[in-house]
Amino acid sequence: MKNCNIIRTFFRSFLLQAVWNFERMQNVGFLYSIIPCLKEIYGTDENRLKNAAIRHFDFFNTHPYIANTIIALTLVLEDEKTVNEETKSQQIKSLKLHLGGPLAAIGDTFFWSRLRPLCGLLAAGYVFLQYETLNQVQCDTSCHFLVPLAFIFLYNTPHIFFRFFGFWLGLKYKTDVVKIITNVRLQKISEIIRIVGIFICIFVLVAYIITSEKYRVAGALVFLTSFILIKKNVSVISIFWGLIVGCVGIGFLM
Amino acid sequence: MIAEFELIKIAFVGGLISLDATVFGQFMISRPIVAGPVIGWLCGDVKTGLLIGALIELLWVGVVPVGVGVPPDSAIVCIVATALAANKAPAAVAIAIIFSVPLGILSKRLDIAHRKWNRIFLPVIENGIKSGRYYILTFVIWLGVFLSFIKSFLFLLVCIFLFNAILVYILPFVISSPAVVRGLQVFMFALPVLGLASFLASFTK
Repeated sequence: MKNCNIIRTFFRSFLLQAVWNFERMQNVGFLYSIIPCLKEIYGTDENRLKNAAIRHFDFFNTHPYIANTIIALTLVLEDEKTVNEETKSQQIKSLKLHLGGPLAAIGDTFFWSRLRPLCGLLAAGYVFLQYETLNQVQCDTSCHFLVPLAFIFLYNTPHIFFRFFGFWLGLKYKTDVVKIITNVRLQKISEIIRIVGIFICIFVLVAYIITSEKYRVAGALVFLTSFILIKKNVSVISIFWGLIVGCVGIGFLM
Repeated sequence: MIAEFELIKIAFVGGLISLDATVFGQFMISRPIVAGPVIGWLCGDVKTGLLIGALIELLWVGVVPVGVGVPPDSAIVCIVATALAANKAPAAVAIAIIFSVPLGILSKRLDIAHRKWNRIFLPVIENGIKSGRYYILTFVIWLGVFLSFIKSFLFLLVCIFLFNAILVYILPFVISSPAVVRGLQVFMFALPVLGLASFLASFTK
């Protein structure tokens, strides 16, 4: 495959979920990403190109960052010239179906439920602890933008790394890439992030409550109550409404 | 009062920002901690944007989309709250957040409807492929991006306009009552604590 088409595929994969639908999910974005390479692989053979396109228009869903790996593997398989059409079609179909779910689960736990909350906590925690400093006149507008910039940098470094290397490794090592991804031990990294996150959260909480001299007891009470309620599967939004009513009530009593 | 031009500007940038959530890239520009300061900057009040962004970021920290689940939209909540609270009395921050949190659920409903509706493109593309017109694919993708943008743009436009009218009307009443202002101060203090509790609960699972 030509490099320019591979690069086009990589950039097109950012639009993977542009027409996400409940019927076949990411299928439109998937076909859109690989169509330049498919056109190159099948050249002027209109019929085979059509069959391949229809084949890739079927159901597909995975984590958007990990999809690049599957896209690369699909292209490698499509490019195999020695395999006959029927087996190739079967192979690709089972690859997309069987890899999408497990890789999506890895991506969901690592990116959505560990890395993003941690980056969010670091940025938001910094804002709460430094709010007085940020509020001062000496600190101009540019200083406020450091927090979101740090957040974007922190989060997107692994994100882009994953997208790019998943794609590249898929093209280079073919199906061995699955072994490589499982060898990275994302689970272990997730576990480390989890423990670091717990420590940082407790640190921010304690610092936040201690610096507010007026509401130390109230802060601790709010924390314990809401923590227990969330653990009992009460939604954060319900606690949010309860908190408003409670706080305004306290305002009248004070 | 937010001027008409400023309102359109906020809704336009807000629409672009919320594209990042599902449609394009997922660089997390659509997270409150980024969207808040950006919208605040547009309104000339970055500080309020940063504060609201941080508050809503932490509130939403436990909301994790799993598989095909559609999460409530945090970007919309943050954009509306920042637009409402910018350049107003400190008590407006709490009220703006209270006003805009239900919008997360509303825009989630809208998002689900939009995703259901997206399937009308499937037969169009299929026919296009069968007749060899592959450009339809590109067309539909960009149409999808455009429609998502229009969806968020109009939603933001209507919500900010309506809520701002209500807020401007009720804010003087709220400020005139010291008890309510005190209550909202306590609320603003307690909100990060709730966010941290939700973070800790999701990390100790």
